[in-house]
Amino acid sequence: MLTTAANLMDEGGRAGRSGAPTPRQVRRRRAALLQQLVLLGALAVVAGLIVRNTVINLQARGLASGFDFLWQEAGFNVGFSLIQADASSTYGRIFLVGLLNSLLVAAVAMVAATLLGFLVGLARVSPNVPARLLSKGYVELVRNLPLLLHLLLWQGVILRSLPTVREALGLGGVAFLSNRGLYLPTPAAWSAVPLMLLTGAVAAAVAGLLLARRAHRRQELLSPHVAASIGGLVLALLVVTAAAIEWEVPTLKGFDYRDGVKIMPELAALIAALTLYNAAFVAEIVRAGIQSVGEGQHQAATALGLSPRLIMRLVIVPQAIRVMVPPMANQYAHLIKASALATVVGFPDLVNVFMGTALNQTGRAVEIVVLTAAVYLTLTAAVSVGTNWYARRVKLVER
Amino acid sequence: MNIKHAACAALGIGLLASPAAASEGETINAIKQRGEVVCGTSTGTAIGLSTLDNAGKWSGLEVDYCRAVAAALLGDADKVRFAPLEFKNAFAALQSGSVDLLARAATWTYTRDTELKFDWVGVYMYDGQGFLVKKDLGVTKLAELDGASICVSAGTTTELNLADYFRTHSLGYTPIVANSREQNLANLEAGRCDAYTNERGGLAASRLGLGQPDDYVILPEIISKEPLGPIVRQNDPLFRDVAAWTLHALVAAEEFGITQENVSASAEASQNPEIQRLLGKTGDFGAKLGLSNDWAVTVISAVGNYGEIFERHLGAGSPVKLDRGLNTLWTDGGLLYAPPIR
Repeated sequence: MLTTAANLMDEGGRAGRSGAPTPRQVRRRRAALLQQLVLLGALAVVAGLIVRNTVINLQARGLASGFDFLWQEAGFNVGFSLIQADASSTYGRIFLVGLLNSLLVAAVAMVAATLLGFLVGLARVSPNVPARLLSKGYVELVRNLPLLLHLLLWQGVILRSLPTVREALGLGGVAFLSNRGLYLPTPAAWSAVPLMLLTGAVAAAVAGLLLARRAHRRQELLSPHVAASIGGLVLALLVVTAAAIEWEVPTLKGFDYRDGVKIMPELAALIAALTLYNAAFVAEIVRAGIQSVGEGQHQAATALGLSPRLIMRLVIVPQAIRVMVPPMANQYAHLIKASALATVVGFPDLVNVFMGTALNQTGRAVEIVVLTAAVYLTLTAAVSVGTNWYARRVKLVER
Repeated sequence: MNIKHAACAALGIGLLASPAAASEGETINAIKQRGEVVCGTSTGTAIGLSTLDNAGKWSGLEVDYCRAVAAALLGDADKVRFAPLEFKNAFAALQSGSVDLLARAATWTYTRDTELKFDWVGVYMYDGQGFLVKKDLGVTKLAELDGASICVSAGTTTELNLADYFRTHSLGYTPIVANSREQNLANLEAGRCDAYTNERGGLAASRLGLGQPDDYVILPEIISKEPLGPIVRQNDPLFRDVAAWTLHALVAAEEFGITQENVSASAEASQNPEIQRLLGKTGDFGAKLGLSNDWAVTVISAVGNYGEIFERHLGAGSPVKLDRGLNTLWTDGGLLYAPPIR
């Protein structure tokens, strides 16, 4: 008999005359379904009992419960917030402040760790011996130290080696570095001329990209003269814009530098530690992905006369990405959860501000922990969904 | 799924189904069963209140109070275990039952008393919130700290008082929030913040831990009342009474002039009826609390009276040299006042 799909589906029984399930298969399927329903029912009962137990215990101890505290006034200030918040804000607003801070840290660290990890991973497999050795040393050293140690190290280094605010390091007279923060100038006012110049720069960049795409479609490269001139135009316009804007330069007034934007040392330490730590793991993932591409691909590309750089860019990496996506999803989820270590350095993220301070002031431990856990669950689930979608897009379709 | 699996599942569900019931007197029963009192204190660096030295020995005003409670309840001041807690976790530890008693420089406030279902059994230190600044900043008044960065511990009333005071006086500031005293002091020394705010007793004690204590000064303004006292859960009224009357006994002993040295002699020889009742020579006052009649003698011979405890850890007999201020007897113009032993 031919090995048909219907035969293969049957686990031990024989296929029916027309491929329909036999009575034995039907019985086995019904039994499996029943077992699954019973298991689900048992899990639901256990969950319900846990919830009931918690509610009874809370009531027996007389502890207040409910989410109404979210509309009470918080009464404390937060050291860093992306939205307007002060001591008269509600706990709900403080929750948002913490959430946005956590998202900021996670987003910046994810991007930075991916970029750095990619570069280090490429260095790991490069024929250049110093690059290989250096990257190997970096990865081995960083991976084997706990993240907490990284955080404390960065915090200690920033706190003790940078000068105090009165003796801040001036960077060109427009930016200042001290152990109280990095102070950068910001644009004060956008008048008409800088706006026009900026629009011009953006338009030139877009035009350049469109030209490049048109050339790519025709399997050509953009002519080097055109590329250089467009690049130069964009750069020149940006420089003129920067010169034309009125910058708000941070100046020392009283206890601290006013005007301009301040980057907290705690934020810098957290992002630095998270980036360096996760970049080491990303580097290993990238290396594994690149080495998973068959040797034959490399040989065939060389036979076609491609240079090593083109081989990596056009042949190896696109195939390696397929293999890299699931471990990267894992790493992103880990990074998001590790950002909760902001408590250790004193950065006001969600866990520090909401699950720490707010929990202590209101005493609603169960509600606050449930809310925080729900936030992290949602974030990691979103990352998971996003990477699954991307994995499906780049998946090899076998015929 | 066979019978064995089903039986295991049913057993597991059955165990989860019985909710834990809270009963009266459970704290005292748990202590008697365990044989020791579990006392929540600071992480061991609150100089004068609860410190841990290199030999693993605890000392301080709060430590002595806990030992007094153990002496009263179990007859032996050494039957006490100290649980070092960061402030953020202190209330949760008491709520959950992992400590019996919290003696951790926690201010008595309306919200904490009502919402968290705790009871303060009394006040062992009347304190107020102040600010510690470096002398070379040239700041002499609190109003000059407009726009400063101020170090504060997370989740405390000091954080809230700071926000309220600066808001009402239209002053700006940046909070540098840390989880522990050590981190705050490290930040202050490194210049990360300009001032450190805490209770003044705590500031005086913390200043000793700095590299150059004489470079720092405590500003004169007191911006809040900070009554510090021991905390118990609300579900054991008898334990609450024992803890409260231990504190009252320490103050009453100072009122009557009973010290660690003369307590046994006073128990025998004193003719003052109130001293006789306190030290158990007459009446059966101990039995009303479920304690032995000479519980106060055990307590005072173990730790001394309130004045001795204060002087030993925070006053003239210690490096802190804190003025007693409001922490003297009512007869000397302070706020310490024990109810009558009658």
